Amino acid sequence: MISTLNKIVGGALFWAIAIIHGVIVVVLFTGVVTRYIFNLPLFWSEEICLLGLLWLTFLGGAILVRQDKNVSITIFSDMLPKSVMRPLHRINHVLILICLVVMIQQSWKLSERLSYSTTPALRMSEFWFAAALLVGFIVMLFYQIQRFIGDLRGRDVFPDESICGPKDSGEVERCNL
Amino acid sequence: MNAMILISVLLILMAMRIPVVFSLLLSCLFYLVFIKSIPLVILAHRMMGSLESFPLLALPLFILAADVINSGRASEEMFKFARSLVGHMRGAMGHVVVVASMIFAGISGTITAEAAGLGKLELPMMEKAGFDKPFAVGLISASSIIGPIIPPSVQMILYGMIAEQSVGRLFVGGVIPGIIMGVCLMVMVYIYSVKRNYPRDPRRATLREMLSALKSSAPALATPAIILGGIMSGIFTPTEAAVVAVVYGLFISMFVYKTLTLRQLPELLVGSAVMTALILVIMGAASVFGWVVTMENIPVLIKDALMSATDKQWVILLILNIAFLIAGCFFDICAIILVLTPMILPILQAFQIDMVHWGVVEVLNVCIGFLTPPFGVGLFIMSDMAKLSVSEVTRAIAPFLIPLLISLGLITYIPQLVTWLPNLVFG
Repeated sequence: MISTLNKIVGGALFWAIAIIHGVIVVVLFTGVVTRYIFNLPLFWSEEICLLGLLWLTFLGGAILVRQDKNVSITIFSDMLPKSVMRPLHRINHVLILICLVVMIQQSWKLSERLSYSTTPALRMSEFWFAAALLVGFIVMLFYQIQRFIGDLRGRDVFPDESICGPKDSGEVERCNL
Repeated sequence: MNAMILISVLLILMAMRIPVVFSLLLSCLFYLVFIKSIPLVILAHRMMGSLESFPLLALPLFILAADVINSGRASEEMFKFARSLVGHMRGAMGHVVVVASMIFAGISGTITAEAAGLGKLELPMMEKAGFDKPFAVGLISASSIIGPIIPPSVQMILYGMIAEQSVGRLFVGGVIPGIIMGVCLMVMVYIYSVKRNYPRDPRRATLREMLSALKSSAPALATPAIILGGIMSGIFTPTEAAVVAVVYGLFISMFVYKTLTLRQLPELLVGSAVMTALILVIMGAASVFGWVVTMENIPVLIKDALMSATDKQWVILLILNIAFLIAGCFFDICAIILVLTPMILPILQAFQIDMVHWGVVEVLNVCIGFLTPPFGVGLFIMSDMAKLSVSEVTRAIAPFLIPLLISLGLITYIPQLVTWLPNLVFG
């Protein structure tokens, strides 16, 4: 059940990110072309791209939580004995969960507040900007809970997943989200 | 007092191995709840606001451009071209590595792309050419630092955002320092090569060979020309240059080198987006932290403390350099730029240090941290790639820190090396 859900959420994340990033490239490039060749700047391209960047950041952030690839400082904790590290690791999980719950709650508040204002060019509700944080943090929480439970049971929930994209050798490897 | 508590909480959380992004958010949360009782919505608001910036869009695009071009044969072709240029010099392969890194630096914006992308190719070639492994590893690592100095550069985009400086100026400001680093490293290669009698290519490449190498690498070599030329001539903003580089890179990888298929495109898009997220979530959280730090007046406190200690600009530059070098030994490059830069802005203003000048110095400085123990990520990447232990890699890299530190000293104390070119180009 949960593994099917993970497959669906992973696939959705993958394609959402790919499409958003693709749209940013296309829109910006079209903007450059229309500005220099037809002397017609796309007045709405900046808004679309900034919205896209927010979604990329927070959906990408969810993949980072899933793959446990967020930047962390390991030098000090590596010096600790295993017996200290295990309980410490659980405390970390709880603190991160608290952080995520607060961020979800506050992103929700922010999106409610912003839903009354619209962007200057496209007249798009600013709700969609804050929604990037809201959705991103919810998916992060979804993965973080699974990581926590996995840790309590002493197993890795998402073993051997590689970060998508090109490897060191320049080959492009399939992404197994 | 509050300032001390805030910073201690952050350091403790990070030492506990909580990811930097959550450490920053949690320490702000702690401050807002227990010290100031300010509505928490500021957490989400600042985080979102700091990312709504057009120049920041250059970041995912430059990462994508480098990934796209790397997926082709481009790095190989550039390596061949560099070999035809400097292959006849004493210690040939060593010089080739430096020159190839400088060219590659004009495409990639990240240091890991340089170290990993070119290193895999260069290490076996250097060994085959008769260099001992530690020397090869040291040189490849040290050359990779040129990546973030010669534009495009992820680190300079971040600095530009925080210090509110033009990314274009910072990019152009990095050109001469990048060349200086290359020259310093090549001098070092030369000295070692004479001492250890490292080989060179038997003869100088003929003009015809050089032209043929140039021809097959030209599509790739055009990328740095487009990026830098576009920015310097004022045709493109850095963000526009980035998207043009992406489209151009797609074109050459798909139609000229034919190494990239449409099918692989989504993987590249997602891969570079995740790399971007890695940096930008920290940026969002760091901006909340930066806001709290300013509320507590910490930057001004630091400035006052330093001003009571000295009134000389060169002493301040020395103190700042040492502080950043130490930070670089322990923390992540981007995290240092994002968290520490806002704290020193008042100092820079008080001592009339040019912000573009310091930006380039700071980026080079923290990148040297990439290669220094105990936390230098570069050491781990290299040890993994070269199949050497981290302590072996550390010993291999140590002598190469000398030319890098000499370069750092030069650009710190001769500001014109950084500021002359952007002033010439942008007025």
